[in-house]
Amino acid sequence: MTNESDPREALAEIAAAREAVAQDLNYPVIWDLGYGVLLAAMIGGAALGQPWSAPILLGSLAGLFFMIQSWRKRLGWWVNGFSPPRARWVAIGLGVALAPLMGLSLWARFGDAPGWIPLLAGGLAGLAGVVGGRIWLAVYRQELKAAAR
Amino acid sequence: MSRAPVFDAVIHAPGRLQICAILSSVDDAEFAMIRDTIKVSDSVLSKHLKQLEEAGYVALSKQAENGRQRTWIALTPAGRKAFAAHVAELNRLAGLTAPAPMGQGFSG
Repeated sequence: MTNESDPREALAEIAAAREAVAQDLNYPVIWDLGYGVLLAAMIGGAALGQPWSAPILLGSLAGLFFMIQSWRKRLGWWVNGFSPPRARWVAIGLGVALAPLMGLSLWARFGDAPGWIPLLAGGLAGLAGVVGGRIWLAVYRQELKAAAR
Repeated sequence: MSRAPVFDAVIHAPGRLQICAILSSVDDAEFAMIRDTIKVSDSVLSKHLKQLEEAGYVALSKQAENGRQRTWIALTPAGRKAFAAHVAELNRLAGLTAPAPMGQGFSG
């Protein structure tokens, strides 16, 4: 228990509590791979006409929902990508990177883009998801440690 | 985000300080996770949460999971502001009470 008169001890208790959250962050890379697959499906699937694009989009959103629920169940807490002040910039950067890829897919659907364009867009989106997820994690972990000091 | 330092007696109590520290790092956390992290009993944690809730610093929500009700806790915006201000005050106080570096505060 804290010695209430000692602010340094109180700060140490805060640091220890935040460290406990940071330690929970050692999740397997398959989480990011799964996230990448869902992003690839969302972006690449947008190039397909109906009736395929809507079920693929809904299936990807359902997959994201399932991933979030399993995270909450396993770790007992949740933070969305845009909540931590520093790590949110990684999430924003990922969104900025995905926007032109979605544009490529829509070009393939409504324009005269070559057939390999949606495959490329989906693949790059998946890669961005995996790399972005790992970078986000590293930044968030640093953020927790810095806040704990 | 820096806040004007304000000491908050509701937050500063042992246990509640750790609860707020955990909740300030996440969007929300489950009752059992907080209990296990700060190593207190269910009843002690409930008491702390009630006091934080009465101060308007946390919001509790019940969610059904596998047929069981689980309680999730989140800091409210007012709670986040109060905790940030309290941490700023602790840092200010720690700075005041820090030992003087070698060679300072001494003249012979």
